[in-house]
Amino acid sequence: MKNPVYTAIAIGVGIVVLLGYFLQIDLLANLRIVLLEWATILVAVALLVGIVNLFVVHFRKSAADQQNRINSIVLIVSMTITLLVAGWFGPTHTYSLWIFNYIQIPIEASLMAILTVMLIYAGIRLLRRKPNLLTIVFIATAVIILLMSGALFGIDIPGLSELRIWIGKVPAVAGARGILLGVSLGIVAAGLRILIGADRPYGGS
Amino acid sequence: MDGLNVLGLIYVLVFLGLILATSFILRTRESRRLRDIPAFERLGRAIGLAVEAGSRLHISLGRGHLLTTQSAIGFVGLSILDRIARSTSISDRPPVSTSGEGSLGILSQDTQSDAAKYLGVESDPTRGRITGLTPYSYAAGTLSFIQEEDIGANLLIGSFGNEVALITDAAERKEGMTLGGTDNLTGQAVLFATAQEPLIGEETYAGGAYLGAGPMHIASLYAQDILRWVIIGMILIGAVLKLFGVL
Amino acid sequence: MDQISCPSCGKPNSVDNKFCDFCLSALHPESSGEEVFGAPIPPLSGENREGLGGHESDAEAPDWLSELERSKEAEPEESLGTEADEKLPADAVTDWMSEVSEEDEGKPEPDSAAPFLPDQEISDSQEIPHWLNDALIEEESPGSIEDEDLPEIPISSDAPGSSLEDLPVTPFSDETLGDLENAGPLAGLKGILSAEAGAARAKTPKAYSSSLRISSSQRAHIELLTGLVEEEGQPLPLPERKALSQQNVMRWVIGLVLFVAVLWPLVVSSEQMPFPVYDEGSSEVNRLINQLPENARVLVGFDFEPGLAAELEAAADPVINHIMDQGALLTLISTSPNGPILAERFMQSTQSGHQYINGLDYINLGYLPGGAAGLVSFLDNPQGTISFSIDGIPLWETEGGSNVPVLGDIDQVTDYEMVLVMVDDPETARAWIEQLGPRLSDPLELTSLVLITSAQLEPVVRPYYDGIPQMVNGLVVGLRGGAAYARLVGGEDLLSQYWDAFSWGTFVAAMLILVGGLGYYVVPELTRTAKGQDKVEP
Repeated sequence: MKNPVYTAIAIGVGIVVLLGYFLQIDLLANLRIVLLEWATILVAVALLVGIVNLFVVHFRKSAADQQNRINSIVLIVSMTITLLVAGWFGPTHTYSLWIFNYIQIPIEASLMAILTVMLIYAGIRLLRRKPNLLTIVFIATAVIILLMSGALFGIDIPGLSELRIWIGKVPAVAGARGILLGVSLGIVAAGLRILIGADRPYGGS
Repeated sequence: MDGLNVLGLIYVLVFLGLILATSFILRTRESRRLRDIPAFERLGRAIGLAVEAGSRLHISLGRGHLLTTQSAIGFVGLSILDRIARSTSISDRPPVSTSGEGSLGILSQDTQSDAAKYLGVESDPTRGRITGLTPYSYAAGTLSFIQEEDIGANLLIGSFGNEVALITDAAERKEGMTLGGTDNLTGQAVLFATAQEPLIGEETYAGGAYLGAGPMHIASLYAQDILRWVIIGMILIGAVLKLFGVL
Repeated sequence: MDQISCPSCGKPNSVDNKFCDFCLSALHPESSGEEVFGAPIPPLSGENREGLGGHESDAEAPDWLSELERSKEAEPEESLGTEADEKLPADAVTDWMSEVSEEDEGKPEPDSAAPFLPDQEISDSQEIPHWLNDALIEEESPGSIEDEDLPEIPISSDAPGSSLEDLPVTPFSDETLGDLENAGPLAGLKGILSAEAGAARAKTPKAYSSSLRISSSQRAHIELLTGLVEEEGQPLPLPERKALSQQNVMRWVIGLVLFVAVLWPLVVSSEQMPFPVYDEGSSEVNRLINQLPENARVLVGFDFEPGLAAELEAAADPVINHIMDQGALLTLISTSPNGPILAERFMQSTQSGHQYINGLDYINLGYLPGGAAGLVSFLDNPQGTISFSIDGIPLWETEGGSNVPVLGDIDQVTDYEMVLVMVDDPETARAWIEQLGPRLSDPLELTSLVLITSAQLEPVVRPYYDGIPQMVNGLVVGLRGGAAYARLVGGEDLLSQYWDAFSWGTFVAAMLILVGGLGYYVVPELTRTAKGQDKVEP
């Protein structure tokens, strides 16, 4: 059994924020704003906690005689240097921008490039892994959108451009709406489970 | 209070009433039939095999922000983590979780420690890891984690974008089973092509019910299904009325 | 009730008992087995097992056995669980685990259990291995084996039964003691060596072989079993991982083909691919920017990740250029931690030609934490949400407004003429649209919302642009949208570098998926069919 105090706080805060959104009562609306501001601060603090956690985990890994400790050491050194540079000179200083432009952006761009290869590879194998109508539709859609995203050497294949626009406006949007409706139902269900205390993803047992 | 707010409040209250009523009805029934989702059936077997083989289970919670709608999928991931941690924490290699958001990371550690206390085993805070705080750093940290650890099955339940392909690829190279579900549309398209067992739309939110996280999960799933049919009916009626110029 | 102690184990027993309830020793020295049971206990055949377990035999069973049976019946099944099971909470076993175990329970016992049940007949000989079936047939007719067929296997001293301890002990009886001596001084005694008879029959005793006689098929079975047992003990060699598997080769090939396709147009500075002629969303953005008044204030959100900077910066470049050409004042903000530095990079690199001065022409407010909640707070009350710029400049020191010229008397988001958001994430895009949309829904409100998005977001944001009421007033999607905009305003510098490479890349990617996918599916099928035909044809 979780601590009933935590549960009561969670339920109470949830109800206040929910009613504050729907009901135009000054007290509830103001209380909701205050609670959201607290939550915003807590999330910002959680970001710092995340950074500390990342540092601690990799510090332990680098201290222990583990395989691949070099990765952890590189991470700690990079983190420390970036923190010192951005902290001392400021995040918009030339040195900080240099780290960003010549280290972070190339790394992330490389990951995007790897991602492209992986997605093409997955697309190639998809028909063999799941040979069904849905897969054929999926691949055909991907190929049409890809072909028509670029200039296609200036060749105008009759109907293909219109097909690309139609896919983008009708089936893709309809599918996205349908999925989002399902997702929103799930979101409300998950939120209500927390609101009535049936789901308690917080500690205090 | 404008009409939209009233409608919103009514919708939430109806949903709540449906959940409570369904849970009350289900209590009196012995059988609670859920529609088959093959991914969850295979997941059960994969977890069993992973535990028997002595390999780890990895639950990736994504990078869902707790102050956005992404928090819901994060909570579903935490419920599944809690359920699996309680079932398999006594195995030789307890499950580990990774997350890409600070508050989610704290909650995952708390969930793991709670499960360990419940089972009376030693808790290890490093089982709930934050592997990166931006999408790509999170993916990069997670894929190196999968490569280093002996992971038998990967559950990717959370908010992921296209970076999730990096994680599924790493899992495939380690020959581990991958089940993935996300609230992100781009992530869903990527998971459809790359994960062994993709979950589409609200299937992800049904994870708790299928893994036995509690009767309320089943009740809310029933309520979701009822409301989904109501929405489908309303869309069809609206379309017909629009077609005939009534709306 | 009177009790006596067992002479063997010392535990108390009822005085009526003839045998100890605990160790089954005789409590009274004069007791014998025959007095109690009446007859020797037969071996446990199937029928006898039934009798012991069945209720109808309770009357005939001894008291201790009846009690034992009753206590077994009274025990709940849960008590049969292991210690580990007892320690576990009831819900520690998930339903799916229960289902798996229920399935297992429903299945018949494995065949391996059959040999250990003497009363169980082997019903289906087809399930028994061929060699074991033969052995069973042979065991049923032992007399059929000819002695000359049986090779001899010497039994080593280590073999079971070779030591004295292993030999069966036979109790002495009249028969075992031998014949009665009827002559000489020992007449009348049993079990003595007969001198005269022995001397008369003195000859070399028959040599009995100590070797075990087995048939050739039994020898084959022994060898098979020995082989199986030895194999179990030997570690199997792990399959060697190929340094370059088929999958890795495919990845490398895809990577190289793409690399060449994208790099070649950049190397040769190819500018052959025509820009898109018209894009509805981009044209609408162009119209809105043209309508901006002089010194209009524009809020620009930088909500994308560095990995997508190339796409979004190229797409946004002609749009922001146009806005700056109109002399607008920019406020930069981000709900992503990387956003502020991306904004700074954008202003200092692609837009450096405009000579915008930080604090005077634009201001970078930095990172806005809290996601959608933080955004709501900022949209309603910028002054209460952010106090300093990213460079530490205090923003709201003047009464009723800002000391920074860019911000002026900004009090809420609707004081901006335009809100432009560069975004790559569906959730972030929705947060901006859904939080800002209701604030701009008033027909008298002149603030417009423009999105510059990654191509992957089109299905998410398109309904907000096409819908009625329109929640997004202008939309530039990906490089294609940016290229269309560049064609409208003539600022094609950055995009012209990328457009050819992008077009080649998307074309090659589409071909790889199409041709590679078909090949990957068809070739193995053809190979399999060909192999199947080879097998059919002799």
